[in-house]
Amino acid sequence: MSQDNFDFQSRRSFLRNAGLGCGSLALTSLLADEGLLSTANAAEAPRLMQPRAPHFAPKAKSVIWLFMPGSPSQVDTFDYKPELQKRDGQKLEGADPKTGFFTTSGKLLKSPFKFNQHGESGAWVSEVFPNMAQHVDDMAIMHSCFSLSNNHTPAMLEMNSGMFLQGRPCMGSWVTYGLGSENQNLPGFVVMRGAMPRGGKPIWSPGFLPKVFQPTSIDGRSKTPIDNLARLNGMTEQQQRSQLDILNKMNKQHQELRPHEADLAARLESFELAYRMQAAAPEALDISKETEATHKAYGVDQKETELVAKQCISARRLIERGVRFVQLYAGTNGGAGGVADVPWDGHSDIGINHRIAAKSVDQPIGALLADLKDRGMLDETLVVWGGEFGRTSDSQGSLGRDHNPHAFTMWMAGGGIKGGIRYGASDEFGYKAVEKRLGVNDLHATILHLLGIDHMKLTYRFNGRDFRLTDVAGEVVHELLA
Amino acid sequence: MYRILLATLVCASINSLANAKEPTAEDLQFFEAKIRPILVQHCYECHSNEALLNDQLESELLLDTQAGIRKGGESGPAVVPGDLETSLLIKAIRHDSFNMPPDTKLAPEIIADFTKWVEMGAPDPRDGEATDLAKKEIDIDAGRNFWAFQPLQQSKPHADLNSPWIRTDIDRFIYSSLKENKLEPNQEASRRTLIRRAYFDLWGLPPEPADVEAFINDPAPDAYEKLVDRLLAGQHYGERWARHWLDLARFAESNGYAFDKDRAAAFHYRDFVIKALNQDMPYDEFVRLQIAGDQIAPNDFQSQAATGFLAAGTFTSQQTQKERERSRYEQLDDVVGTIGTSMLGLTIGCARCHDHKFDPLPTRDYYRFTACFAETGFQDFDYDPDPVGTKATKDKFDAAHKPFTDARVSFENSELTNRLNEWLKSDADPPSSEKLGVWQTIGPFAAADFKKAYNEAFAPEKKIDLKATYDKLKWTPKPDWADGEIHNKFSGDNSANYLYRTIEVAQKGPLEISLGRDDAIKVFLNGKQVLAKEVTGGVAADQDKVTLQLKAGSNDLLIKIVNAGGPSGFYFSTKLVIPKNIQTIIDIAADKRNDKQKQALLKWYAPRDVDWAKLNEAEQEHLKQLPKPDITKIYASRKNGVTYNFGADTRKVYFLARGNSNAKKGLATPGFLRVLTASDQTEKDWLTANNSDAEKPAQLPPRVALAEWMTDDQQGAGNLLARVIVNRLWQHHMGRGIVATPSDFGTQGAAPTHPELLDYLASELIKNDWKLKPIHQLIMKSAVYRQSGENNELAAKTDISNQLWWRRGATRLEAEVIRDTLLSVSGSLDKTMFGKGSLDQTNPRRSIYLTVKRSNLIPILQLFDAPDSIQSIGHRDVTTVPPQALALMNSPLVRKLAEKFAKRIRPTPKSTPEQVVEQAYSLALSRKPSNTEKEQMVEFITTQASSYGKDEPAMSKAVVDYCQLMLCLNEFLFID
Repeated sequence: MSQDNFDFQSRRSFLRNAGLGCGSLALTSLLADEGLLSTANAAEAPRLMQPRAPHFAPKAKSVIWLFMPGSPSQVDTFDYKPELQKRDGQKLEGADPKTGFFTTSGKLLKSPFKFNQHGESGAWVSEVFPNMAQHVDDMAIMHSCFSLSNNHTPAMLEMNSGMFLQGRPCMGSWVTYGLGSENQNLPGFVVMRGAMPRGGKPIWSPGFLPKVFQPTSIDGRSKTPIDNLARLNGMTEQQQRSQLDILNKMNKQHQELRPHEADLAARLESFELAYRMQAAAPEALDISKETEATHKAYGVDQKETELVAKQCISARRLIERGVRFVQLYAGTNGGAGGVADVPWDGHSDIGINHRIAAKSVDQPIGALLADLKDRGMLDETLVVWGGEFGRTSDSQGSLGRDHNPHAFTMWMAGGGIKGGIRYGASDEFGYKAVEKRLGVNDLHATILHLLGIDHMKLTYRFNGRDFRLTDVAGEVVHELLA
Repeated sequence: MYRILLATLVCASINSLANAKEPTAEDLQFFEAKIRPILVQHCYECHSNEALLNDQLESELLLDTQAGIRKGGESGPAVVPGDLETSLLIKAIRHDSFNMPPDTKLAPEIIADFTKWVEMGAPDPRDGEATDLAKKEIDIDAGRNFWAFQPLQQSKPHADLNSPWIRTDIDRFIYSSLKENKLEPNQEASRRTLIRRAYFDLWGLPPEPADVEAFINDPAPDAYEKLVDRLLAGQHYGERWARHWLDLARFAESNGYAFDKDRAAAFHYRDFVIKALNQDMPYDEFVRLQIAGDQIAPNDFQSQAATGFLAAGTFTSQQTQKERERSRYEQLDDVVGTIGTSMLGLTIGCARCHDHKFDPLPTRDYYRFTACFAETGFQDFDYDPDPVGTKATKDKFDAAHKPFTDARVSFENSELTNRLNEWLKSDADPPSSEKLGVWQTIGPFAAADFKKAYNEAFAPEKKIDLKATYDKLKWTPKPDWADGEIHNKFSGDNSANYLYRTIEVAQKGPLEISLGRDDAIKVFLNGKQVLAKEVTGGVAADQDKVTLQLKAGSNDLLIKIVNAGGPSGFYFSTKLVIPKNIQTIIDIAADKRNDKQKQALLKWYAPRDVDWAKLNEAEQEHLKQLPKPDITKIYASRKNGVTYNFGADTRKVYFLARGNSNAKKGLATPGFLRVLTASDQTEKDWLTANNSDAEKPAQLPPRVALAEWMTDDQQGAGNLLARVIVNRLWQHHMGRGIVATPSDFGTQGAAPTHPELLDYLASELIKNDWKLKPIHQLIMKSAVYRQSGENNELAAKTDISNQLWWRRGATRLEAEVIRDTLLSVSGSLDKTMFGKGSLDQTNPRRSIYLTVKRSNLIPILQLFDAPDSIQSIGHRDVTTVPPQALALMNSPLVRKLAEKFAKRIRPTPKSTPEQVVEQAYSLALSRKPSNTEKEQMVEFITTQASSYGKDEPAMSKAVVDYCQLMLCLNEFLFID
């Protein structure tokens, strides 16, 4: 992929403007805040998507976040609890029936799935993830995650932005704000989805950061995934080229008379970038370029896995081409055993719900990990897996599980993660995280650390306050690092 | 030591007193063996005097002395001897409330040891006094010394300066600092530049070519001043400047969050802002109405609408019980934070969890300020412009209606009761109450096979329209089709026939129907399917029974009969159902029925009586004349309006430890920010009405008091309020505020580049009765505003970032202005003002009338940095990204506008390319093209046309391509 827009001179001057030489990204924010970065002042407008050096040497260059909307149940996937299996139907001491969205029974519900140990690390994985299970030796499985909300939208906001309210920038926006992107012909931050997750687009909002850091969101079911990418009917490439040539000529004449207006130059360039993006983005998303073997490995050929398989291949192709951050909202379910359009929300029957949701993601994710590894990309690509909270160990109705913010399992692999480990623990029924509790701020701090960013120094000043992704908390979990 | 212990116990509960005893050696041994090591290992890191010294103390809780552990931290005592319930330490280690230690729960044996220890009376030999953590209170008086909290300086505008450049007093301040730096400002820009600058600045629209010509050729020396006055008087001024305020007000027309419910009546606030600006409503009044308009002028439409400001924040309609109280504090924080940043330029929200780290804003002030809104909620308010008139009309109607009601009631009490009793004595079925309409039928609708005919929803299933025809099929009435008989009248293989009739009842209730069918059947009542049977076979009576739940009035019954082959038909009859509760009453002996039962019986029987039905109909008919008051719904703030409900504390505000609603520290009473209040007594004066006659002064509603305090330039926050708004005016006119951080006037914000000028403008505002238009005039008529953007090498060396205003910078148009300008230039702008908005970005009205739906923001506006309407925005980013270029190059929206633009400049094929180019330049750029430009553009059109082929279609496509590129020019989007 062409990198000819990597203008080193302008990058250096941006670093000087932003004070990155001092090892702090905070000055970027000082400049950007409330107008200091506006056209009238800056001698040269920094190109906000140009790649920037992190605070220290990174382990990961890019991130693929596999978000399971609706939230998988920890005790039916990775957090094996023999005691729960034994005491099915018994009272769960200390259970709060108002833990989730509805009311739970207070009676333990065993997992309908079989568990087996896998890999050299011997991690327990339920039968619904036979493919992911083959990669446990690359994973750090975190059993002590917790969140602050028991409701999808606020919890998803928290998982993405560190705060359960609308209005804060999501992690992908923070990361591209901090690091820019390696390929200027593609968006630096891409969101892929099927059904719109609860909470809609604000889930991946850039908040108060400049809109440059907004993701390009792609509905995997749509035939025209990115708006305005295709030339209008009836116009050839040559005709558009002629149009742009004369536009450039006029814009240059206009700019020469206004040497202090840096935005004018940036805008000139943006038309050329857009012109190239028309070819580069469809190419990156065109999975027909992949071999049949790849298609088969991911599961493009099966109805149940087709959507997520295609998205996982696209995610790899984007990362390969220098995209910084891809977040994939994965899973299709059709509402079986739970709520329509929220794939992992097994309120009424966790067995039916999770079997179908898991089927839709397991093979594609397994293949993605294998593929990244084969291509030598896993070392520099951090893969994150998980939902927005966990599910209750006691039943909702007779076979379902309600939301549970007190414990859930996530895993990370590649990009500087120590593989084959289990971190933290929930209690004997998987109801509450009790050992080495891991909050969302800690998770974010750790991911930023892997990308070479000090979460305390990645700040942006908005309405008079220096904001951080990790708010006023968060600690890097060094045990997770290779 | 024991004396201290005793003293603590006296203060504690009786319960713990019972456990008070001198610790034995054994007790102390237990402490040393089981308790102290755990405290040291797991707690001291954050809860000890050492932690305090290292600035690592959490929650003001010290656990390393006996006194400290008993005193506890922000949330109360950690250990109360003998009392497990109130000992927060026990709750915390059990992870019942605080989850301590934070990362790993202690082992069950250890928790058991602590429990035992507390039950033992918490023997504890550690001495040392409880450290007094009463933090150094923020020194408010010292805080007042900061420039932003000072009274306005009444500085003289350098009367001694002498330069022909100077036009207004503003220029004296500017020129003086330029001179100090040995710089000269630019001269006045050309009239063409000035008219574009003024139009975009005040109206957000391009000038029409005729306006440009008239201005350029106006010989009057005050042509420019007249232009500014004319634009300020125009209605588009309010539409343009309202957008700046709506950014600050985080205005939106939906709740946000998961279901993002629409606020259909929220647009009145947007209209209020436009109108207020156009009327030049004094800014202090503008502020007062937004904070407390509903209480200041309860009968005034605009004052209600103004409170949409408070109400504009997000609201999550889907809430779990556990989230409600937290959400209420978030909602209040949004209100307080928005007032702080937008009106006072203060980050009040920073004092929510701790005293403000930089500004003199203690947490105490935050919660007292918040308490002014404790009773406030947000909902649609029914505005009646004439409540007195409404009542009079209603009274008149009631009088006219009374005879109808009386007639019915008297009939019920006499004749109807008799008839009911007679029927009860007889064995007859009760008379039926339903009125069945005539059957209507349509069909056959054919399909490929039986299954498809059954499954497909043919037209009548989607909508019943007796007048419609479908491919020659028409509805036919069948007045002779009697009920209780088989009608085998349909035909058509693999087809469906529909039957329709109305069923009228006076009261809602069940009606049982009995059906027969050949072959399959579906039954729909009022559009809802109530029976579906995919079967085959001949028709017979009573094959299916369905109980219809009828609503009062007319009901629609639709039956679909699906035929596989051969003849086809149906059977229909009704069966009277006596509801269970009525049957129970009937079964009671007549003399045993109580009044309530008698009434229920009568009510059930009444619709079955023809004479009653007539009286009832007359009454209902008259009721249709019930006057409807002229109600307008306004989404607004109210005392006791809707908010998250969590019981008794719903409309209270507590002081919270670290902003946590689970850690309340006491009820907060309304109050203001002390640093902006003359004295504590003035605060009290505001909160009570100035009514010297009354013995006890009446309480003033807290929001009204707050509004008064905000706008008072003598005793309250008025000076800062004035500084912040004049700075915003300057910022939008000049591209940067005198204070470059327009929403942060605190110590961490930027210092004013021209402090005297800022105070001068603020004083002028107050002097002009807080009217904004005189300030616009003052700024726009100044030389500093009117100068050109030319470069000056010498000045650039000294002041490249133009802090001293030696030149005028170019600005990119904002999202709404870009869209409005596209509409205007293409001749498609619809100038209708006010009212309900639209979510459709192709709607031709100005962008301010596009609906702001938080989950569905307008794409073209978002691309050009429009805000997301979640938080107050005082300055928009200006970003330049490829998707903007893609939208201009490839979006159908822009292409359509380019096509309209092309039609406008080339109404007939007779126009020459030269004329087309000249027209386009004058409409889009307010000027004529240079000869070179004209040549190049004409060449482009010709070449492009030949690439499309020959003749007219090729030429018109080429002109559209040309128009589109005009809309992409930097000169089009950037204003000098």
